[in-house]
Amino acid sequence: MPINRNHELSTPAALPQASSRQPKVIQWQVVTPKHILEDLILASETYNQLLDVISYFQNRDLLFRQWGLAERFASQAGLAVNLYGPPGTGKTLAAHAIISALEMSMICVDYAEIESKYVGETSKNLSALFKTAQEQGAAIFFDEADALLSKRVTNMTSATDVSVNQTRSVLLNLLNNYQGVIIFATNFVQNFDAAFLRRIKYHVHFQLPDVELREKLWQMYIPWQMPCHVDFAQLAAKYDNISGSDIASAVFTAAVQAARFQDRLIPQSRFEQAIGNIIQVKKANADSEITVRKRFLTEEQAKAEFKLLAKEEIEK
Amino acid sequence: MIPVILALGAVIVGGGLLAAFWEDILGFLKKAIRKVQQVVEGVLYGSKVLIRKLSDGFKEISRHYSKLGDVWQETTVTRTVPASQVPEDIRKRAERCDELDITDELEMELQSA
Repeated sequence: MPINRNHELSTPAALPQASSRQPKVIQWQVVTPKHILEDLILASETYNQLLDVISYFQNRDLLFRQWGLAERFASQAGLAVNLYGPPGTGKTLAAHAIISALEMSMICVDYAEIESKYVGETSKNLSALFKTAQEQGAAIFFDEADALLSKRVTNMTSATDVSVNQTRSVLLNLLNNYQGVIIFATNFVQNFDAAFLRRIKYHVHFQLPDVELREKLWQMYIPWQMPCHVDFAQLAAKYDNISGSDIASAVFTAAVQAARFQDRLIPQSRFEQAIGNIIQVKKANADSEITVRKRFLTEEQAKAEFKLLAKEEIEK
Repeated sequence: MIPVILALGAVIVGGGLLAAFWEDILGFLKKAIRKVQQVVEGVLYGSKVLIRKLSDGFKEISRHYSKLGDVWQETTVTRTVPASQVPEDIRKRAERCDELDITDELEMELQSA
């Protein structure tokens, strides 16, 4: 077979271009909050804390200038709030409602967007985010914030560990200097680094609804147009340890099933079955959330921990 | 401390909310022991069970003591449960201390299957 020395593949122009390794530039989208305070069904204590948060930002001039708090509390013009509690308890809705009450727009941040596989890029993404928010006068909302604010690595063994700590340090610095509104929401506040906890002004705890709130949630999520025969008080009393989000899911599931069976009047049993299934899934999930930790003990520590040991083992 | 053999072979007898709680704890303990048996070498002697109040719910803690040669090891298995799953009496006692040891109480509830 003749050899073609002018084969196309040997010419530099025909060589495939090296793939671009430039990290992507994030375009932050400024949006309007989707909820208002009146949409929230919360314990009065939680709701009042949200009002305090709003009042703080609305009355900054009164507090710091007129009443002279700036003399005692330097660098307090910014507002950092942490909304924490079990999933489905209204934290994301509340974040939107706070920002709406402040008549601001917002940037909703998912940690997956900020995190970069390139060492050092996550910090740059964070800096760019804060810059955009400042320029646009927008509040920043970090959902699932524990991914970003978790404890720093104390035993750094890799470039990744160094990068994680660098990101945390950059964020601490940004928090210190930022004069706008930042809201964090998390299901896992116990994972937060203590340095972040100190820099966040308000920590608002969201709890699972009590029987009174559950009744209101059932009433809210079942639209008046849906023909059903439901005792809301009974539903609320019978099924506890559920969130607003669980109730919303149960209503939707029951509605879909009722449509399938062409119910003229949706019976309460449909809602009970739906919420029962959700509770079962949550219980199974809770059982799987088991953590294991090991440590070695000295003989004295082992003896101190428990008294009933085989005598021959103790005296060995 | 609850010996491993007792824990794995026991049941809770009786009905009501309190019995349901002990049954649930025993179930957790059995699962934890089986998990520990998979991850540790040596002889597993026994376990303790404690409860700690969290800001949201309670943490159930089981500590398991094993020995390989001369080396003792403590393996801790934990899970989080909502407050509604913990009887009021135990809840109140757990709120007054850092960790409430319920090992002896659980051992009293155990009966051989």
